Formats: sequence, structure tokens, C-alpha cells
Amino acid sequence: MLFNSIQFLFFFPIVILIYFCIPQKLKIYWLLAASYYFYMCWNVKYIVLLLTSTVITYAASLLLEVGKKYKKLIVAGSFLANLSILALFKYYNFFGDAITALFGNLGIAVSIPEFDVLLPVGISFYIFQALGYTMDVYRGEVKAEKNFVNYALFVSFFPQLVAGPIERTKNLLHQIKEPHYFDEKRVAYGLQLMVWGLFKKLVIADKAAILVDTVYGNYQIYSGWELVIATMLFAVQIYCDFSSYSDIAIGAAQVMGFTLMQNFRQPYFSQSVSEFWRRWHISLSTWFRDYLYIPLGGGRCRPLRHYMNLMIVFLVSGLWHGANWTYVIWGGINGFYQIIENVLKKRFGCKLSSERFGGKVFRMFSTFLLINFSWIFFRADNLAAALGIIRRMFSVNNAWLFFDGSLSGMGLDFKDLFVLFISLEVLAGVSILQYCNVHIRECIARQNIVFRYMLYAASIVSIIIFGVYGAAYDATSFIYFQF
Amino acid sequence: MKRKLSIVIKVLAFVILLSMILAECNHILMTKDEESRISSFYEEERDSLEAVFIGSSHIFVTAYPFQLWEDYGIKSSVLGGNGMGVPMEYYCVKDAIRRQHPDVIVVELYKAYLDEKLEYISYTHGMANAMPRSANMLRMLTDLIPKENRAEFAFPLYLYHARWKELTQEDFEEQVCHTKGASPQFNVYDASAFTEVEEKETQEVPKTAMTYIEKMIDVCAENNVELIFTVMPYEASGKTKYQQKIFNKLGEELADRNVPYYNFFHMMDEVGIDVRTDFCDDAHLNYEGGQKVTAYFGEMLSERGLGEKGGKDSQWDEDMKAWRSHIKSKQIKMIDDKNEYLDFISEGNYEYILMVKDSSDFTAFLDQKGTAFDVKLPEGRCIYIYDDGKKSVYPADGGKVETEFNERWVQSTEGKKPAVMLDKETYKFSEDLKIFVYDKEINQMIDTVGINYSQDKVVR
Repeated sequence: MLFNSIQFLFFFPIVILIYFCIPQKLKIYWLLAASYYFYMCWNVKYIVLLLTSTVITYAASLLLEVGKKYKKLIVAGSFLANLSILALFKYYNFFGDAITALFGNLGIAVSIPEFDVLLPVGISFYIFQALGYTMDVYRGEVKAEKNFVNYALFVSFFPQLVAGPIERTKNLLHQIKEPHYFDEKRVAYGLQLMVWGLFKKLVIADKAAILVDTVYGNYQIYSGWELVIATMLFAVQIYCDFSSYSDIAIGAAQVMGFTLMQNFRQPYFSQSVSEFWRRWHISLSTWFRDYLYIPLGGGRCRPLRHYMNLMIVFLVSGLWHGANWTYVIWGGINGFYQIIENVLKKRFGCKLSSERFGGKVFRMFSTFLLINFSWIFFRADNLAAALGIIRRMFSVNNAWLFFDGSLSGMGLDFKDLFVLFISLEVLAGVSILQYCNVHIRECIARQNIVFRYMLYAASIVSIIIFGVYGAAYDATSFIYFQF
Repeated sequence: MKRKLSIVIKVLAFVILLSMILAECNHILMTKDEESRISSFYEEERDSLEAVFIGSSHIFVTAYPFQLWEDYGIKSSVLGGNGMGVPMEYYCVKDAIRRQHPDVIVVELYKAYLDEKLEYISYTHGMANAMPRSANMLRMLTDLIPKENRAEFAFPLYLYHARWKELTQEDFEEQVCHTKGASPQFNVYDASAFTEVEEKETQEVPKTAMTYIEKMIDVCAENNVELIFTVMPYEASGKTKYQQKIFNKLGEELADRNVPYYNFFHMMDEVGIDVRTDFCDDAHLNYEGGQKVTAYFGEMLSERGLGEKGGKDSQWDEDMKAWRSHIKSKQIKMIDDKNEYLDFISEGNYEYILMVKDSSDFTAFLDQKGTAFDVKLPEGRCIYIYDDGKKSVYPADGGKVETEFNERWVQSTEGKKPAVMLDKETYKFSEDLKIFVYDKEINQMIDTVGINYSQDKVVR
């Protein structure tokens, strides 16, 4: 079930209510049952894959502690099994098409049967989380978890099951074994974060999506600033969509007494692409850093090898995001950016701007533009569309559209644009406060009860009225669910 | 324990506050096209009505409770919804029995030709938005609404939240129904293409419709309420003639079950319906036609003993004035002839503003008409206001008016081309005479017309 669905509106309070009423030793069983139910709401059969991955990695970790001679074999087996599941469900058709096209170019007709099955939601996330655990046990960083229920809950914990954050063993597994009690302040903080996540998703991301889909879906009739606006709004959309899920997940976990890792830290305030990747989808970036980049050698090698490692990581990261060449190119572009940054910084000691406020703003803006450019490939339906959009973006300077009312011809009318504008102002304000390390929820907690209640009511009412959901719209799923 | 109690109280207080805000938002954002008309039934004092009319637009444009009250002393109301299907009618019958336990329920069966529980979900929304929450409504939603649409009904904001962009004044103001659920129509449509399909031509009544008709029969029998079915006439085309065959078959089915049924397709001459003047479109009777049908219902219900309790109810008599004003407010808009228009407003108890382009021309016009005007008007352009018996005159040339007229601000603008501002609208002296007609009974500005003395027709 989606976080922004009526089912979740009933599911979550019931789970929480019972969670806090039952004895401590029963809590993990209750959470495990709730998590499996949550996952099976998508499709009952999906649970087989989740259980398979759980059992394989659980067994592998136990074997790693027993069969020390065959450690590498066990890890390889676990990775092979899990990645095979991922490859089969996510990449089979992609690679099949690629092979067919390659042989076709060589004049050889090859027919690979299609694997016609829906991609199980969240498969990339929980498989990576389970594999991360396998590696941590292999490296001796954690002991293998002998209690299957604890481990199963670690893999399937419902707040972060289908779209992250991809949790680490060291952070989450011990929390599952600890007692959790009701705490009014912590519950309030968790609920506030969930409401903030819903605001970002329903009021900002899904509203921006209407314009983005209108323009990108028919890019041939748009040009110049229209495509620029759509691309920039996509940047907003994907950030709000993805970070909102993380916020709701982190908030839901916080209500129950769990602390999940932060997944986004105001990424569009980054002053370099490298910094962007330390602030964006932190759980995935750190996963790739720890389990792919560093084993490849990371940055502690000759520059050419270093750059190759960077490119491999970002190409794989691109492929992780979707079975389409546009994602691979997107990943490659980001890898290329980082290589260039590295070269400019290390080899030539190049400083493009000062450390003063103006310099920082310039770097933030430049980074935002570079990232935005790469988003074109992420969002476009295919490579031809991406190139077409870029070509049309620079074909004309139609700045008049900011003055002649044309803005309302891109899917959103002026009333919606106004609401979106105000919402973006709110987002910007909150982001700036967070960037300056202001703990907003603590500031709210210090206000009197009337102010707090009016703020909570206003937030919820604005989501209900201005949010994109319900019968008037198709339910807009979270972008990252396809992963 | 104290701390837990404090948390519970705080949560409850917040939930109550949020619920109140959301309830108000819900009320503002829901569509209200039918709300006041349908709600008027639910606002009736319980067990006060002798008859209830239930059905689609065919019944609510045709049956007039105030006519039944005035002529027969029968207290009734109309519970009608656009496109109301037979299954929905069953639940309305249950509501009518529960709230009023009337002597007679008349159900119109236009949609008996449908073999489905739900034709368009928007029709159901129209009813559900106005119906109060009850166990019956819940059963109706569970029975008729597909699972994927139930959230819209359980939480109307789920559907209507996006209406914030379409809100108008009507969404914020309480709309009052002066008609006991009726909605008479006043335009005239020539339905000369009307054809009657012979009674012997029949077609099976769809199973779904028949199932719910039988349920209505059963529930009325259980509650000792007389049930009468009816269908209203309309101009049948080649595509819709099969519907008349089904209505004919209904006659047989209901006769077998001993339930009275009035098929007005076969009663046109008996009732005196004139196809050239008594229809407002190809599907509905207008006010003229509705009066005839209502008179027929009145006779029929009187024969069943309704209206015998005595037609004395000061509240109903008082409400009748609003009904008459409502009718006149619609009729006035149909008048094209200037003399007929002036006679109409002089006979009614109206207040008005006159914008006179030239007072001497105006006086000459009235003299020609033989109408006395007992107020001396200044030369040139002027404004005459008749408000609550008080007559006020203001010169527009070289003079000024700034006054209130029934909570509307009236102000003249000076200059070469003076004009009058009524609230935020500006009106010029473009015709010889401009009339703003206000009906105090229903607190509405009911019409604005221009008159040129040399022309027969009013200018709208």
C-alpha cells in the first residue's frame, strides 16, 4: 500500500496502537506480521521473493560464521542468488533487448523470449539491504543474527521496505532487539515528519509532476524556457517525491522508537557534484561506496583506476535506478562530472569561485544546473527524447512566456501554479533552516499548545485541500517504487 | 496515569479541532447543485408529511407540494435526484418511511429501463452529498457503489478537495429551498414529435429494476404505507421508444401485484397536457404541464383521504409566500413584452430601482399606458428607488445618489455619461428605462431589464 493511501491511513494507527499495547517480547512478531501484510498488499506473491532473499542471506550469514574456509564462496553464492533474482525480475528484458539489438547490428537474428512479469516493488532496496548485511558479517563488522524473526524484521521493516532508506546492519539490527516504549515527544516528532513528508509528496511533487508529465510527454510542441521550467520542476519533483518517502519512513519508524538513517540533506544546496552525492540518497550512495567503490579500490589507487572506479560505480548506480539506457547515461554523466571535478581540483588546484557568500551561491547554482542537465536523461522516455529535449531547449529564447500567460498552458493553471509557488517557498524556508542546523520540530515544541495545534491543523488541511490525490487524479505513485 | 490521561485529552482535543475544520471544508468544497433541494426533505419535521414523491428529475420538475397544500390541504415533499435510478429510489423510500411514515409514497419509474444498479456515479454523488449520514445511507453505498469508489463517499473530501479552484459565493452561503423539493421549469419546448406507444406493446422489465421495485413494495407493505408508481411523459425518439414498452410492461407487472400505477404516457388527454406548450425540453414537463399533473395527483390523493386533517398550518401558509415568489421570479424572466412586464411587476409586491433616461419621456410613456405615477421626477436623467414603501428620487445629471437598497450599495457616477453602480456592477442609461426588480419575500434581485418605449420587447 502507498503511504499516501486511505489503506495506510487505517493501517498505521492500528499497527501503532497494538504495538504500544502488547508486551515487549511480542512487538517484533507484531511488526514482522504487519510488515509482511504491508508488502503483500502490493501483491501476495511478492512475499515469496522477500522470504527467499531473507532466507538465503540469513543462512549465508550463519554459514559465514561456521564455514570460515569457504567464506568467499558463501558470499559469492549469496550475492549470485540475490542478484540473479534482481536481474531476472528487473533486467532480463533490458539485457535481452540489448543483446538482440547488438546481434541485429551484426546481422545476426537472435530471438530472446520476454519475461512478462511485473517488477516486484522495492526489490532493489531490500535485496541491497540484505546483501549489505551479508558483507558486514563477512567482514566481521557484525555477528550473524541467529534469531530468524529479528533478521526477517530487519529485512522487511515496513517503513523502509519498498523505497528505503537502505539501512545498515550496525544501525538497525540492534534496535530491533531493544525494547521500545511510548514517548509523547518522540511520537509527536515522528508524526510531524510524516505530515511534512506527505506535504512534499502530495502538494509539491505530485503537482509539479502534472506539468513535467505534460511537457515531457509531448516535448515536441515545447521549446526553450518551457523545457527549462519543466526540467527544473522535475528536479523539485524527484527530490520531493523521494525525500518525502524517506521522511514518512523515518517518521513512522520514529513513532515506534526506531531511528533510521537520514537519506537526504538539502542536496540542492551542494556546492559540487561530489557534495551532491554525499547529500542525495545517502543510503544508496554509501552502500555503493562501502560495497562496490571501496572493494574496487576506491580513490586509493592511480588516478586512471580511480576514475574508472568512479565511473563503474555511477554506471551501476544508473542501472540500479532503472532498466533503460537513459538511466545508465544519467549515471555516466554524474560519474563524468565527478571525474572532471577531481581533475580540476587535484591536478590543477583550480578554484572556480571564492569562499564568500556570492561564491557559495554561484557554486550551488552551477551544481544545480549540472545536476538538472543530467535529470533530463533520467526523466526522458528514451535517449532520442532526451537529445530532442536538449536540442529544443536551446533552439529558442521564449522568455515572453513568463509575461503572456503561457505558463498556464503547460498542464497547471495559474491557481495551481500559485499554490505550487507558495509551497516551494515553504520548502525553501524549511530547507534553509535545516541547512543552518535549526531543529524545526524542537522549535515548534517550544511554542504554546494553541500555536502548535493551529500549525498542525493548517498543515493537514492544506495537504487535504491542495494535495494531488483521490478520484480526480490517478494515484501518483512514488517515483522510486519502480526500483 | 495522569500523564496518560493528559495525552489522551490532548489528542482528543486536536482530533475534535481538526474534525470541525475538515467538516466545514467538506461542506464548502462539496458540489451543491442539488443540496438545498434534497436537504429540504430531511429538514421537514418528522412525521409531518402525508405524501412523499420520490424519483428522478421527471418527478421533481412536475410535482408541486405547495400546490397540493393550497388546493387540497395535503402536506407533501419531493425527494428527487438527477438521474435517480430505481435501486436508489428504494433507499429513498426507506428514508421516507423512517423519517415521515407518510400515508402515501409516489415513486416515479423513468429509470426502470436500466438493468444496472448504477448508471453514473455523479448522480449518486448528488444524492449522497445531501443525505444525512445514517445506517440506511451506509447500506445504500455498500449496495450500489463499486468498491473502488467508496472512499469518495466515505470521505467526500477525497473527491471534492480539488474543487477549491471552482469555489463561488454560492459555496459559502447557505442556499434555501422554497419549494419543498420541487424544481419547476418555465421555458417552453414544442414536443409535437411526442408519440405514444400502444399499451399492448411491451418489453420485459430489466431484472435489476424489477428486484428493487419488489423491495419497495415489500418495505411499504411492512410499514403500512401506500405505494404508488408513476411515469411522466416525454418526447420519445426512435431510440427511446423501447422505454415506453418497458413502462407498458410495468403496468402488467404492477397490476399483478395489486400496486397502483399511473403511466402518464397514456393519460395525456385525461390530464390535459398540451405537447406544444407543456414541455420545457424533450424530457420534462414545464410549470404549466406540472400544474396539471400535480392537480391530478391532488385529486387522486384526496380520494385516498389525504388532506382531510384540515389545511391550517401557519408555517406552511407562510412558506407558501416564498413558493409564490419563487414561481414569479422564474416567470418574470420569461416575459418579453414590455407592457406585460410592467403589469407583472405592478401586480406583485416588489421593490425596484428605475433608471430613467429622460423623465418627460417616461411620464409621456406612462400617460400613454394609462398608468399613474405619483412622484415628480427631476428633468433629464434620474434614479427612482422604491424601497419598503419609501419612494426616493435622485437626479443623475448634476446630482448624486449614494444609498443602500436591501443591503446593496447604490451609487451614481458623475460625468458626461453618468451611470449607476449597484454593488460592484455598473449600469449605464443605455435604454429609455432600466428596471431592477427585488423580491423581499425571497431576498433576491430577481430581474434586470431595459425598456425602450418605441420597442415592444424588453432588453435583457
